[in-house]
Amino acid sequence: MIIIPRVWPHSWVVSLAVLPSFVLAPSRPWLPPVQQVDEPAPPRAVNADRVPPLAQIFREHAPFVWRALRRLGIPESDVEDVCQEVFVVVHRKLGDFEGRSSLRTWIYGISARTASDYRRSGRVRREVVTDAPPEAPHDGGQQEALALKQARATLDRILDELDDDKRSVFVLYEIEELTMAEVAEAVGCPLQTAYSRLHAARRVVEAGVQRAQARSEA
Amino acid sequence: MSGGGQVDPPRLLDEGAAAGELRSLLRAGKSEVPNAAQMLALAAKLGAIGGLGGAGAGGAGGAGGVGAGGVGAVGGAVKGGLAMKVIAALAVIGVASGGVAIAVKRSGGMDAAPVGIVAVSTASAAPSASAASSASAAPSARIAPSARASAAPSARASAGAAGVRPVESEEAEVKLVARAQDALRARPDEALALCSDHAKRFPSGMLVQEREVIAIEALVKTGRKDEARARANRFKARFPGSTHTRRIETILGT
Repeated sequence: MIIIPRVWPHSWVVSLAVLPSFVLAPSRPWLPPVQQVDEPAPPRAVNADRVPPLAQIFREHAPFVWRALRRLGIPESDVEDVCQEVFVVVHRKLGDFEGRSSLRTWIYGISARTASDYRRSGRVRREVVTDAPPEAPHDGGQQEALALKQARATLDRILDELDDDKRSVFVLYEIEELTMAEVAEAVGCPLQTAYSRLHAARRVVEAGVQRAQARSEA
Repeated sequence: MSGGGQVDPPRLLDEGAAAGELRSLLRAGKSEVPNAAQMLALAAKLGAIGGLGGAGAGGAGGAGGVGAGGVGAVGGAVKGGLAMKVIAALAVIGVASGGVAIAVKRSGGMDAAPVGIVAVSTASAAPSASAASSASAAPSARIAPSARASAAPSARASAGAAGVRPVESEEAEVKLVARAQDALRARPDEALALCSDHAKRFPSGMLVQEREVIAIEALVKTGRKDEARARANRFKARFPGSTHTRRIETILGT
Protein backbone atom coordinates (compact mmCIF):
# COMPACT_ATOMS: atom_id res chain seq x y z
CA MET A 1 0.00 0.00 0.00
CA ILE A 2 1.36 3.32 -0.99
CA ILE A 3 0.03 6.48 0.43
CA ILE A 4 0.37 9.40 -1.87
CA PRO A 5 -0.37 12.54 0.03
CA ARG A 6 -1.39 15.75 -1.55
CA VAL A 7 1.46 18.07 -0.83
CA TRP A 8 1.06 21.78 -0.97
CA PRO A 9 1.55 23.47 -3.27
CA HIS A 10 3.02 20.92 -5.58
CA SER A 11 2.54 17.28 -5.67
CA TRP A 12 5.65 15.37 -4.86
CA VAL A 13 8.61 15.35 -2.63
CA VAL A 14 11.72 13.84 -4.05
CA SER A 15 13.66 11.66 -1.75
CA LEU A 16 17.16 12.48 -2.77
CA ALA A 17 19.00 11.33 0.24
CA VAL A 18 18.32 7.67 0.05
CA LEU A 19 18.07 7.17 -3.65
CA PRO A 20 20.80 5.04 -5.13
CA SER A 21 22.96 6.84 -7.63
CA PHE A 22 21.22 5.46 -10.68
CA VAL A 23 18.02 6.86 -9.31
CA LEU A 24 19.61 10.19 -8.66
CA ALA A 25 20.36 10.69 -12.32
CA PRO A 26 18.27 13.74 -13.01
CA SER A 27 15.07 13.12 -14.80
CA ARG A 28 15.23 14.66 -18.22
CA PRO A 29 11.89 13.93 -19.76
CA TRP A 30 12.82 15.99 -22.77
CA LEU A 31 15.98 14.04 -23.56
CA PRO A 32 16.38 10.57 -24.93
CA PRO A 33 17.54 8.36 -22.09
CA VAL A 34 20.85 7.50 -23.66
CA GLN A 35 22.05 11.05 -23.97
CA GLN A 36 24.95 11.84 -21.73
CA VAL A 37 25.05 15.10 -19.94
CA ASP A 38 28.02 17.36 -20.07
CA GLU A 39 28.70 18.25 -16.52
CA PRO A 40 31.57 20.24 -15.14
CA ALA A 41 34.71 18.26 -14.76
CA PRO A 42 34.76 17.09 -11.18
CA PRO A 43 37.31 18.91 -9.12
CA ARG A 44 40.24 16.82 -8.06
CA ALA A 45 39.70 16.19 -4.42
CA VAL A 46 37.05 16.26 -1.81
CA ASN A 47 37.13 19.09 0.63
CA ALA A 48 34.25 18.58 2.94
CA ASP A 49 35.28 21.41 5.23
CA ARG A 50 34.61 23.96 2.56
CA VAL A 51 31.31 22.55 1.44
CA PRO A 52 28.31 23.85 3.32
CA PRO A 53 25.28 21.65 3.87
CA LEU A 54 22.97 21.26 0.92
CA ALA A 55 20.13 23.03 2.69
CA GLN A 56 22.29 26.10 3.12
CA ILE A 57 23.50 25.93 -0.47
CA PHE A 58 19.92 25.67 -1.58
CA ARG A 59 18.80 28.65 0.42
CA GLU A 60 21.68 30.82 -0.70
CA HIS A 61 21.82 29.89 -4.34
CA ALA A 62 18.39 28.69 -5.45
CA PRO A 63 17.00 32.19 -6.08
CA PHE A 64 19.90 33.01 -8.37
CA VAL A 65 19.85 29.65 -10.10
CA TRP A 66 16.18 30.23 -10.74
CA ARG A 67 16.79 33.67 -12.20
CA ALA A 68 19.73 32.53 -14.31
CA LEU A 69 17.70 29.64 -15.70
CA ARG A 70 14.89 31.99 -16.68
CA ARG A 71 17.29 34.25 -18.58
CA LEU A 72 18.99 31.21 -20.07
CA GLY A 73 15.73 30.39 -21.77
CA ILE A 74 13.83 28.16 -19.38
CA PRO A 75 10.15 29.09 -19.55
CA GLU A 76 8.35 29.91 -16.36
CA SER A 77 6.33 26.74 -16.65
CA ASP A 78 9.46 24.58 -16.49
CA VAL A 79 11.82 26.56 -14.34
CA GLU A 80 10.90 24.74 -11.15
CA ASP A 81 11.65 21.36 -12.72
CA VAL A 82 14.92 22.49 -14.25
CA CYS A 83 15.96 24.20 -11.03
CA GLN A 84 15.27 20.97 -9.22
CA GLU A 85 17.45 19.19 -11.70
CA VAL A 86 20.31 21.61 -11.12
CA PHE A 87 20.21 20.90 -7.39
CA VAL A 88 20.04 17.18 -7.96
CA VAL A 89 23.28 17.51 -9.91
CA VAL A 90 24.75 19.78 -7.24
CA HIS A 91 23.85 17.20 -4.63
CA ARG A 92 25.40 14.39 -6.63
CA LYS A 93 28.61 16.19 -7.37
CA LEU A 94 29.07 18.13 -4.17
CA GLY A 95 31.34 15.53 -2.70
CA ASP A 96 33.80 16.15 -5.51
CA PHE A 97 33.79 19.89 -5.19
CA GLU A 98 37.17 21.06 -4.02
CA GLY A 99 36.81 24.79 -4.27
CA ARG A 100 39.03 25.54 -7.23
CA SER A 101 36.33 27.90 -8.35
CA SER A 102 33.85 29.41 -5.95
CA LEU A 103 30.82 27.32 -5.17
CA ARG A 104 28.73 30.01 -6.81
CA THR A 105 30.69 29.77 -10.07
CA TRP A 106 30.49 26.00 -9.98
CA ILE A 107 26.72 26.04 -9.49
CA TYR A 108 26.28 28.58 -12.27
CA GLY A 109 28.26 26.26 -14.52
CA ILE A 110 25.89 23.42 -13.76
CA SER A 111 22.95 25.74 -14.33
CA ALA A 112 24.25 26.90 -17.70
CA ARG A 113 24.82 23.33 -18.88
CA THR A 114 21.44 22.16 -17.67
CA ALA A 115 19.73 25.07 -19.41
CA SER A 116 21.70 24.39 -22.54
CA ASP A 117 20.64 20.73 -22.53
CA TYR A 118 17.08 21.83 -22.12
CA ARG A 119 17.29 24.26 -25.01
CA ARG A 120 18.98 21.75 -27.26
CA SER A 121 16.26 19.25 -26.55
CA GLY A 122 13.96 21.46 -28.59
CA ARG A 123 11.20 21.17 -26.10
CA VAL A 124 8.41 23.42 -27.18
CA ARG A 125 8.45 26.67 -25.37
CA ARG A 126 5.17 27.49 -23.82
CA GLU A 127 4.59 31.20 -23.66
CA VAL A 128 3.21 32.31 -20.39
CA VAL A 129 3.49 36.01 -20.94
CA THR A 130 -0.21 36.62 -20.60
CA ASP A 131 -0.54 34.74 -17.35
CA ALA A 132 -1.35 36.65 -14.25
CA PRO A 133 1.70 37.62 -12.22
CA PRO A 134 2.62 34.73 -9.95
CA GLU A 135 2.02 36.69 -6.83
CA ALA A 136 0.38 40.01 -7.51
CA PRO A 137 1.66 42.06 -4.59
CA HIS A 138 -1.38 44.19 -4.07
CA ASP A 139 -3.72 46.04 -6.34
CA GLY A 140 -1.42 48.98 -6.86
CA GLY A 141 1.44 46.70 -7.72
CA GLN A 142 -0.29 44.78 -10.46
CA GLN A 143 0.53 47.25 -13.18
CA GLU A 144 4.16 47.22 -12.20
CA ALA A 145 4.19 43.43 -12.08
CA LEU A 146 2.68 43.23 -15.53
CA ALA A 147 5.16 45.74 -16.94
CA LEU A 148 8.03 43.77 -15.43
CA LYS A 149 6.71 40.60 -16.90
CA GLN A 150 6.44 42.14 -20.34
CA ALA A 151 9.94 43.57 -20.11
CA ARG A 152 11.30 40.15 -19.18
CA ALA A 153 9.47 38.55 -22.08
CA THR A 154 10.98 41.12 -24.45
CA LEU A 155 14.44 40.52 -23.02
CA ASP A 156 14.06 36.76 -23.30
CA ARG A 157 12.92 37.01 -26.92
CA ILE A 158 16.07 38.97 -27.68
CA LEU A 159 18.26 36.53 -25.74
CA ASP A 160 16.64 33.68 -27.69
CA GLU A 161 18.54 34.96 -30.72
CA LEU A 162 21.86 34.05 -29.08
CA ASP A 163 23.38 30.64 -29.32
CA ASP A 164 23.92 28.76 -26.06
CA ASP A 165 27.56 29.75 -25.67
CA LYS A 166 26.99 33.45 -26.11
CA ARG A 167 23.84 33.44 -24.08
CA SER A 168 25.53 31.82 -21.10
CA VAL A 169 28.38 34.31 -21.14
CA PHE A 170 26.03 37.26 -21.54
CA VAL A 171 23.65 36.19 -18.77
CA LEU A 172 26.35 35.25 -16.30
CA TYR A 173 28.22 38.50 -16.83
CA GLU A 174 25.48 41.05 -17.39
CA ILE A 175 22.74 39.70 -15.13
CA GLU A 176 24.43 37.47 -12.59
CA GLU A 177 27.45 39.76 -12.41
CA LEU A 178 30.16 37.17 -12.29
CA THR A 179 33.58 38.44 -13.26
CA MET A 180 34.74 37.45 -16.73
CA ALA A 181 37.26 35.06 -15.19
CA GLU A 182 34.43 33.39 -13.30
CA VAL A 183 32.28 33.31 -16.41
CA ALA A 184 35.06 31.58 -18.33
CA GLU A 185 35.45 29.08 -15.49
CA ALA A 186 31.71 28.44 -15.29
CA VAL A 187 31.22 27.86 -19.00
CA GLY A 188 34.54 26.09 -19.39
CA CYS A 189 36.20 28.19 -22.04
CA PRO A 190 39.38 30.28 -22.20
CA LEU A 191 39.02 33.80 -20.88
CA GLN A 192 39.71 35.32 -24.26
CA THR A 193 36.94 33.24 -25.80
CA ALA A 194 34.57 34.44 -23.11
CA TYR A 195 35.39 38.05 -23.98
CA SER A 196 34.75 37.39 -27.66
CA ARG A 197 31.44 35.76 -26.88
CA LEU A 198 30.43 38.64 -24.66
CA HIS A 199 31.17 41.23 -27.32
CA ALA A 200 29.38 39.23 -29.98
CA ALA A 201 26.40 38.72 -27.68
CA ARG A 202 26.22 42.42 -26.90
CA ARG A 203 26.02 43.29 -30.58
CA VAL A 204 23.14 40.85 -31.07
CA VAL A 205 21.32 42.08 -27.97
CA GLU A 206 21.74 45.74 -28.81
CA ALA A 207 20.39 45.13 -32.31
CA GLY A 208 17.50 43.20 -30.81
CA VAL A 209 16.62 46.03 -28.47
CA GLN A 210 16.62 48.48 -31.36
CA ARG A 211 14.31 46.23 -33.33
CA ALA A 212 12.00 45.83 -30.36
CA GLN A 213 11.90 49.58 -29.93
CA ALA A 214 11.17 50.13 -33.60
CA ARG A 215 8.33 47.63 -33.38
CA SER A 216 6.81 49.26 -30.34
CA GLU A 217 7.03 52.68 -31.96
CA ALA A 218 5.55 51.52 -35.24
CA MET B 1 39.32 39.66 -11.10
CA SER B 2 40.08 39.40 -14.75
CA GLY B 3 43.05 37.52 -15.95
CA GLY B 4 45.21 38.13 -18.92
CA GLY B 5 45.68 41.79 -18.12
CA GLN B 6 42.31 42.53 -19.64
CA VAL B 7 39.88 44.52 -17.56
CA ASP B 8 36.27 43.46 -17.45
CA PRO B 9 34.20 45.89 -19.47
CA PRO B 10 31.58 47.94 -17.64
CA ARG B 11 28.41 45.94 -17.30
CA LEU B 12 25.46 47.04 -19.36
CA LEU B 13 23.55 47.48 -16.12
CA ASP B 14 26.06 50.05 -14.95
CA GLU B 15 25.12 53.68 -15.21
CA GLY B 16 25.74 55.02 -18.69
CA ALA B 17 27.05 51.75 -20.11
CA ALA B 18 24.03 51.02 -22.27
CA ALA B 19 20.98 52.65 -23.72
CA GLY B 20 18.19 53.24 -21.22
CA GLU B 21 15.86 50.76 -22.84
CA LEU B 22 18.40 47.95 -22.71
CA ARG B 23 19.20 48.73 -19.10
CA SER B 24 15.60 48.67 -18.07
CA LEU B 25 15.11 45.31 -19.78
CA LEU B 26 18.17 43.94 -17.99
CA ARG B 27 16.97 45.33 -14.68
CA ALA B 28 13.62 43.62 -15.22
CA GLY B 29 15.46 40.42 -16.03
CA LYS B 30 17.60 40.72 -12.96
CA SER B 31 14.69 41.35 -10.63
CA GLU B 32 13.08 37.99 -11.25
CA VAL B 33 13.75 35.78 -8.27
CA PRO B 34 11.33 33.22 -6.96
CA ASN B 35 8.84 34.41 -4.39
CA ALA B 36 8.34 32.71 -1.05
CA ALA B 37 5.71 30.35 -2.38
CA GLN B 38 7.88 29.32 -5.33
CA MET B 39 10.87 28.73 -3.07
CA LEU B 40 8.71 26.69 -0.77
CA ALA B 41 7.41 24.64 -3.67
CA LEU B 42 10.90 24.06 -4.99
CA ALA B 43 12.24 23.14 -1.57
CA ALA B 44 9.37 20.75 -1.06
CA LYS B 45 10.04 19.23 -4.44
CA LEU B 46 13.63 18.68 -3.49
CA GLY B 47 12.68 17.37 -0.13
CA ALA B 48 14.95 20.06 1.22
CA ILE B 49 12.54 21.08 3.86
CA GLY B 50 11.42 17.75 4.99
CA GLY B 51 9.10 14.96 4.22
CA LEU B 52 5.51 15.92 3.91
CA GLY B 53 4.05 12.59 4.71
CA GLY B 54 0.45 12.92 5.71
CA ALA B 55 0.19 16.55 4.69
CA GLY B 56 -3.34 16.78 3.47
CA ALA B 57 -3.71 13.05 3.72
CA GLY B 58 -6.01 12.81 6.64
CA GLY B 59 -6.05 9.45 8.27
CA ALA B 60 -2.64 8.51 7.00
CA GLY B 61 -1.51 8.70 10.56
CA GLY B 62 1.94 8.23 11.86
CA ALA B 63 3.52 10.23 9.12
CA GLY B 64 7.03 10.87 10.09
CA GLY B 65 10.25 11.79 8.55
CA VAL B 66 13.55 10.23 8.00
CA GLY B 67 15.32 13.48 7.78
CA ALA B 68 18.57 12.76 6.14
CA GLY B 69 20.96 14.63 8.31
CA GLY B 70 23.68 13.89 5.87
CA VAL B 71 24.36 11.10 3.55
CA GLY B 72 26.54 9.65 6.22
CA ALA B 73 23.57 8.98 8.42
CA VAL B 74 21.39 7.47 5.79
CA GLY B 75 24.25 5.80 4.04
CA GLY B 76 25.13 4.21 7.33
CA ALA B 77 21.65 2.91 7.70
CA VAL B 78 21.75 1.52 4.23
CA LYS B 79 25.08 -0.13 4.72
CA GLY B 80 23.93 -1.47 8.04
CA GLY B 81 21.33 -3.32 6.09
CA LEU B 82 18.62 -3.09 8.69
CA ALA B 83 16.69 -0.46 6.85
CA MET B 84 17.96 -1.45 3.47
CA LYS B 85 14.78 -2.93 2.15
CA VAL B 86 12.62 -0.14 3.35
CA ILE B 87 14.88 2.49 1.92
CA ALA B 88 15.40 0.66 -1.33
CA ALA B 89 11.65 0.24 -1.64
CA LEU B 90 11.25 3.92 -0.95
CA ALA B 91 13.73 4.75 -3.62
CA VAL B 92 12.07 2.56 -6.19
CA ILE B 93 8.64 3.81 -5.32
CA GLY B 94 9.97 7.31 -5.42
CA VAL B 95 11.07 6.82 -8.97
CA ALA B 96 8.12 4.85 -10.14
CA SER B 97 5.74 7.52 -9.05
CA GLY B 98 7.77 10.46 -10.12
CA GLY B 99 9.54 11.31 -6.95
CA VAL B 100 7.16 10.39 -4.20
CA ALA B 101 8.95 10.24 -0.93
CA ILE B 102 6.24 8.57 0.98
CA ALA B 103 5.84 4.91 1.25
CA VAL B 104 4.31 2.55 3.67
CA LYS B 105 6.70 0.27 5.37
CA ARG B 106 5.91 -3.26 6.26
CA SER B 107 7.57 -5.12 8.99
CA GLY B 108 8.70 -8.60 8.35
CA GLY B 109 7.33 -9.03 4.90
CA MET B 110 4.47 -11.32 5.66
CA ASP B 111 2.73 -8.81 7.81
CA ALA B 112 0.55 -6.88 5.45
CA ALA B 113 -0.44 -4.20 7.87
CA PRO B 114 1.17 -0.89 7.18
CA VAL B 115 3.17 0.05 10.19
CA GLY B 116 4.26 3.49 9.41
CA ILE B 117 5.02 5.98 6.81
CA VAL B 118 8.49 7.05 6.11
CA ALA B 119 9.06 10.36 4.56
CA VAL B 120 12.46 11.24 3.37
CA SER B 121 14.06 14.58 3.34
CA THR B 122 17.35 15.93 2.16
CA ALA B 123 17.36 18.94 4.39
CA SER B 124 21.06 18.62 4.61
CA ALA B 125 21.89 15.77 2.38
CA ALA B 126 25.30 17.03 1.55
CA PRO B 127 27.65 14.14 1.27
CA SER B 128 29.72 15.30 4.14
CA ALA B 129 29.57 14.65 7.80
CA SER B 130 29.49 18.35 8.48
CA ALA B 131 26.07 18.45 6.93
CA ALA B 132 24.55 16.98 10.01
CA SER B 133 25.60 19.92 12.07
CA SER B 134 23.67 22.47 10.06
CA ALA B 135 21.30 24.55 12.10
CA SER B 136 18.62 23.90 9.58
CA ALA B 137 19.47 20.30 9.11
CA ALA B 138 16.90 17.72 9.66
CA PRO B 139 17.62 15.32 12.41
CA SER B 140 19.70 12.50 11.14
CA ALA B 141 17.06 9.91 11.09
CA ARG B 142 13.61 9.78 12.38
CA ILE B 143 10.64 7.55 12.24
CA ALA B 144 7.12 8.26 13.25
CA PRO B 145 6.11 7.07 16.70
CA SER B 146 3.68 4.61 15.23
CA ALA B 147 6.42 3.21 13.12
CA ARG B 148 8.72 3.07 16.07
CA ALA B 149 6.16 1.12 18.02
CA SER B 150 5.47 -1.50 15.43
CA ALA B 151 8.42 -1.56 13.12
CA ALA B 152 11.20 -1.76 15.56
CA PRO B 153 13.96 -3.14 13.35
CA SER B 154 13.63 -0.48 10.71
CA ALA B 155 13.02 2.21 13.23
CA ARG B 156 16.10 1.26 15.15
CA ALA B 157 18.12 1.31 12.01
CA SER B 158 16.93 4.73 11.05
CA ALA B 159 16.75 6.45 14.37
CA GLY B 160 20.40 6.94 14.79
CA ALA B 161 20.70 10.53 15.83
CA ALA B 162 20.41 12.06 19.20
CA GLY B 163 18.77 15.41 19.84
CA VAL B 164 15.97 14.72 17.46
CA ARG B 165 13.29 17.34 17.09
CA PRO B 166 9.68 16.31 17.37
CA VAL B 167 8.80 13.91 14.64
CA GLU B 168 6.29 16.05 12.88
CA SER B 169 8.28 19.25 13.07
CA GLU B 170 9.28 19.87 9.49
CA GLU B 171 6.12 18.55 8.08
CA ALA B 172 4.13 20.64 10.51
CA GLU B 173 6.22 23.68 9.75
CA VAL B 174 5.67 23.44 6.03
CA LYS B 175 1.98 22.87 6.53
CA LEU B 176 1.68 25.81 8.84
CA VAL B 177 3.47 28.23 6.53
CA ALA B 178 1.50 26.88 3.60
CA ARG B 179 -1.74 27.53 5.47
CA ALA B 180 -0.62 31.05 6.27
CA GLN B 181 0.24 31.64 2.62
CA ASP B 182 -3.13 30.29 1.55
CA ALA B 183 -4.97 32.47 4.03
CA LEU B 184 -3.09 35.60 3.05
CA ARG B 185 -5.18 36.70 0.12
CA ALA B 186 -8.63 36.42 1.59
CA ARG B 187 -8.07 36.15 5.35
CA PRO B 188 -5.03 38.17 6.36
CA ASP B 189 -6.02 38.10 10.04
CA GLU B 190 -5.91 34.35 9.99
CA ALA B 191 -2.60 34.43 8.13
CA LEU B 192 -1.20 36.66 10.84
CA ALA B 193 -2.38 34.35 13.57
CA LEU B 194 -0.80 31.41 11.80
CA CYS B 195 2.45 33.36 11.52
CA SER B 196 2.39 34.01 15.27
CA ASP B 197 1.79 30.36 15.81
CA HIS B 198 4.75 29.55 13.60
CA ALA B 199 6.97 32.03 15.45
CA LYS B 200 6.16 30.30 18.73
CA ARG B 201 6.52 26.77 17.52
CA PHE B 202 9.42 27.18 15.14
CA PRO B 203 11.53 30.08 16.37
CA SER B 204 14.45 28.88 14.30
CA GLY B 205 12.59 26.98 11.63
CA MET B 206 13.63 26.71 8.04
CA LEU B 207 10.87 28.98 6.87
CA VAL B 208 11.35 31.88 9.23
CA GLN B 209 12.04 34.31 6.40
CA GLU B 210 9.06 33.13 4.40
CA ARG B 211 6.86 33.43 7.46
CA GLU B 212 8.02 37.00 8.05
CA VAL B 213 7.25 37.99 4.48
CA ILE B 214 3.76 36.57 4.87
CA ALA B 215 3.30 38.34 8.20
CA ILE B 216 4.43 41.68 6.80
CA GLU B 217 2.04 41.35 3.89
CA ALA B 218 -0.76 40.33 6.23
CA LEU B 219 -0.14 43.43 8.36
CA VAL B 220 -0.34 45.63 5.27
CA LYS B 221 -3.55 43.95 4.21
CA THR B 222 -5.12 44.51 7.61
CA GLY B 223 -4.21 48.20 7.48
CA ARG B 224 -1.41 48.02 10.06
CA LYS B 225 1.20 49.55 7.84
CA ASP B 226 3.32 51.01 10.64
CA GLU B 227 3.62 47.62 12.26
CA ALA B 228 4.43 46.14 8.88
CA ARG B 229 7.19 48.66 8.39
CA ALA B 230 8.63 48.02 11.85
CA ARG B 231 8.55 44.30 11.23
CA ALA B 232 10.19 44.80 7.85
CA ASN B 233 12.97 46.77 9.50
CA ARG B 234 13.53 43.98 11.98
CA PHE B 235 13.59 41.53 9.09
CA LYS B 236 16.23 43.53 7.25
CA ALA B 237 18.35 43.78 10.37
CA ARG B 238 18.06 40.08 11.02
CA PHE B 239 18.50 38.89 7.44
CA PRO B 240 20.66 41.43 5.65
CA GLY B 241 20.92 40.66 1.96
CA SER B 242 17.92 38.36 2.00
CA THR B 243 16.42 37.62 -1.37
CA HIS B 244 13.05 38.54 0.10
CA THR B 245 14.02 42.14 0.77
CA ARG B 246 12.88 43.40 -2.58
CA ARG B 247 9.60 41.62 -2.22
CA ILE B 248 9.08 43.22 1.17
CA GLU B 249 9.74 46.62 -0.30
CA THR B 250 7.17 45.93 -2.97
CA ILE B 251 4.68 44.89 -0.32
CA LEU B 252 5.28 48.10 1.58
CA GLY B 253 5.05 50.09 -1.60
CA THR B 254 8.43 51.65 -1.09
